[in-house]
Amino acid sequence: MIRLENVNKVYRTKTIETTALSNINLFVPKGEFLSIMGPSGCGKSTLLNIIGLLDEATSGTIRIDGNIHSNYNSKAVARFRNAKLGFIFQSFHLIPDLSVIDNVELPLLYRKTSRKERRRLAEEALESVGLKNRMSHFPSQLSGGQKQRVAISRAIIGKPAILLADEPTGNLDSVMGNEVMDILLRLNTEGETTIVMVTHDQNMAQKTHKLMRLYDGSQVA
Amino acid sequence: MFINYLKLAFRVLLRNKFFTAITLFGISFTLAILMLIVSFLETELGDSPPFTNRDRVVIMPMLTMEKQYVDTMYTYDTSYIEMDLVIDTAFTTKKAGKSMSTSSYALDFLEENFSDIPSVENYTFFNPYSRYNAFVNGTKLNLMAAYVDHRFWEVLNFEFIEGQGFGESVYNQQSQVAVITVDLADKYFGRKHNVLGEGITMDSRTYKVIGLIKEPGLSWLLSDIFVPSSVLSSEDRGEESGFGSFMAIYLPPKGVSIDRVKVDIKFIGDQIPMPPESDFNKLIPEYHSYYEYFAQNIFYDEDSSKSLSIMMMILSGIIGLFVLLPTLNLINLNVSRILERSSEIGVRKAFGASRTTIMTQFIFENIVQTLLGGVIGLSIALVLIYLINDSRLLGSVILKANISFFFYSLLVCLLFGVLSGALPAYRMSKIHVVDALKQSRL
Repeated sequence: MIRLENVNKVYRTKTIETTALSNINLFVPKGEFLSIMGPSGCGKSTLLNIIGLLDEATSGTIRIDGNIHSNYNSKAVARFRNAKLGFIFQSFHLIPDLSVIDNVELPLLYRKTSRKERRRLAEEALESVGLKNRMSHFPSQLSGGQKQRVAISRAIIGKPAILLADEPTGNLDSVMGNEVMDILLRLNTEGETTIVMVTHDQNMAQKTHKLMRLYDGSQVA
Repeated sequence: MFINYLKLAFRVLLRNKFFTAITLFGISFTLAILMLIVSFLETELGDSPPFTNRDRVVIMPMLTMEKQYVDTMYTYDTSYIEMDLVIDTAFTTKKAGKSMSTSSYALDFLEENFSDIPSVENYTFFNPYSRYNAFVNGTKLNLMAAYVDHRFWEVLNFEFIEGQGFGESVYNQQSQVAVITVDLADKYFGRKHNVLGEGITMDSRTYKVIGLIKEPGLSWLLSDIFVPSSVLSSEDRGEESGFGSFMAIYLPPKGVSIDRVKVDIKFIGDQIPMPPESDFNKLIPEYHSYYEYFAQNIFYDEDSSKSLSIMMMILSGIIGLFVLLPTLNLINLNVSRILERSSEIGVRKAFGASRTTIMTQFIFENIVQTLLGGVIGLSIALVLIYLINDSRLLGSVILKANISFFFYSLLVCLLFGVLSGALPAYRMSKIHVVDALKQSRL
């Protein structure tokens, strides 16, 4: 499903060259739940961004669902992200001026989905995270855990094959964190969604199928 | 998708009310000024009454008579041949200048020479304004009278409120009849209607009112009373030389170019013989399209097409400045407003929005904002137009707010919206998704 071969990422300025990722090799089969751990600044988020085609590797090959995207133009990459990938961010990244349901509908705006169908799917996605009664609320009216559940609904509404979660429980207390983690586990087991999650939390990581450790941009386990 | 954008546009506007109020004030004020310019141009250059055929008319306002002076230069070449002084004389001539006289036409001169133009369907000869005083209940009233022929009412399309213009037989009978404007009716009779059959005294003659019209509202047609030119004495019809106070408007049939009319006028002008006793030896009739004539009144140049070009350049410059400066200001405001939303752009891109989609969204939002400003601007412009017309700030020019005015105003709004939104939207659409997401304001 996800295959990375000899992936490197180097940030260059006129005077400094910083290696963010060095020679990363990774294979995540369909339906697997992988967690990535490591200290701050070790390149976890960079790796997740590269897997999610939000950032480009300096060298190496990235195959997602069998496709190599280095030759795709930005429009084709955007289309692919929309169809195959879902994102969950640590700080939720909900749009404050849109209601909960409008936030959830967002990925479908970039597909040819009718307004009626968008509504139906958004309601369904919100119901799956237990937030159907908060559809017309605005993000500022929700708790952290609720915001993250809305973000999960937004990530899964387009039924993506791969979910990429960047510290989804990082901004939540342990109860809320566990709730969110349970939802992710359910999506993985029931929906066979492949999930790659960056986390600092050993307990959360232990609940996943596989753990990858990064240190200073290199794979250590 | 656009409903979503629309909702978002309104929510963004409501989010920072002070910022929105300042932006809307700037937009609406700018657009109100632009709409006033549009209204003025629509009044003077649009296809509204009485000039519903502006594109098709040729105006012949002035006649120039010219005399070319020639300098003769003599060269003396002296030599001695067999002790005799021989003087050879040679001379050359060159143009040394010219004297010219320009004036409007005498009516008889026009009728004699310029009545029969092959490419013309209809025409009118008229004296656009003569000033007279009238007295109403002891109060002096300035009258601007136009002496017109019966064809004047066919070539121009006045909006009659009561009655009508005079026909050929009334004209030929030299009847003392008049068509007056509503404004004059109000000043002279104290009412704006039911004035047909009333008498109006001007220049020791009393004219019977047979028609009541809306003001022409044009800067160059200032008259408020229109009477038959057939009532004029031969002295008032102009001089024998051809000079007088009349002008001509020619209307070719549809499909015939006004350039053909111009060629015909020039041809006729070239054929008119100059009497030997005349101070001049060349006759040059001026002829312009409506727009050239309008430009000629503001920026005079011998070549009226040059006047039009100068006017168009200055006008474009003024409109350009009026659009450009607030646009730059709005671009600046928009950049800071959109920057606040960079993480939203990041999220949208992450979930599949392309650069074009992002640009479309922000330009759409900007157009919504501009249209909102446009509605406020339109209201301000309509109030200003009413106040300007009511106070006669522009003299006889009556600013119009018709369908074309609304159409052009909408066009101005859209142009303003796209111009001020495109650059910030383009910049933000180019922002890298990871960088955008790092601007964590969501």
